[in-house]
Amino acid sequence: MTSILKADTIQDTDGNNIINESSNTITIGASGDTINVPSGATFNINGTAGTGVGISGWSSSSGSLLPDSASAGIYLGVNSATAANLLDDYEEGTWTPVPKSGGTTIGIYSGVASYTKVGRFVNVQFTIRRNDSQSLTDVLQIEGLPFTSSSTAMDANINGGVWVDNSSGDHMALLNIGGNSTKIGNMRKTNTMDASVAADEWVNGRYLYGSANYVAS
Amino acid sequence: MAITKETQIGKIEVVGKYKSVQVRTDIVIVEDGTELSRKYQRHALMPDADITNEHSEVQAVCNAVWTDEVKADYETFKASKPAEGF
Repeated sequence: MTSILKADTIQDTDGNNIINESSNTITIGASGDTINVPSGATFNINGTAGTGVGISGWSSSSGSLLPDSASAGIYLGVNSATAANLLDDYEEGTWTPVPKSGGTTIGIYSGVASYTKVGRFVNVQFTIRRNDSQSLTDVLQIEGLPFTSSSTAMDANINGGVWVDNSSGDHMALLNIGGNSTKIGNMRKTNTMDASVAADEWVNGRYLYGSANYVAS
Repeated sequence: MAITKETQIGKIEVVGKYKSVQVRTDIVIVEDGTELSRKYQRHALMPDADITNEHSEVQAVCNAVWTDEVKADYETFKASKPAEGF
């Protein structure tokens, strides 16, 4: 036999509400009370978190915090909302390097190129193999960066490096990404003073490996 | 059981003084209506870019923000850069 106790309010012996129900709202305890969930117990909220439960505008997805707004982030290192301390972007993906010489596109086999963006900081990595026998003597550049560089980037920044892996006569070079740019504009050779890598110094059929870091606009 | 690969324009962003248009293309694998994976491919376009082969949504954004004034300012900016490749 099942017994059902019907009541809108349950009070303690002092007359203080423990549980109260009114208009589909259930109130547990009263102002000044402490409500304990004892050790070993599990407290689940399977419905929607309301005011004061968790963080407004955030939910959980497979254990990870998920904001309602795609532009929401986390302030780090401050206890007041300061734009310079807001981490609000993270992304991983691929991009397509387009090597060029004086505006002429250099053919390549399918390359591998990836990026990771954390806040405004971008890291790109790439491996490409030349598939183009035409003679191209202008400076080698690589277009197609996944994000536009910041306007504050300087033309002489050193953003990363490349290894031009020829059968013989390899080149190591420091690469540069200028301001307001979507390309690696210059690869300054470290084994030859005052010279940039020219397109034909990357031999047809051979590989070019590189990585760079820059700040996005 | 049907597995399909979809290509979507995931995001179009306009950034910077010269209205660079950053495009994120999402490659989505879907099985019977349920998304299995989503990968991102990115490229960015400056005002002197050839947008003939871009998605119509991207073209529309480029044409809206790349005014004659923006294009002229960008050409002036490019001309101010060092000669050797930068």
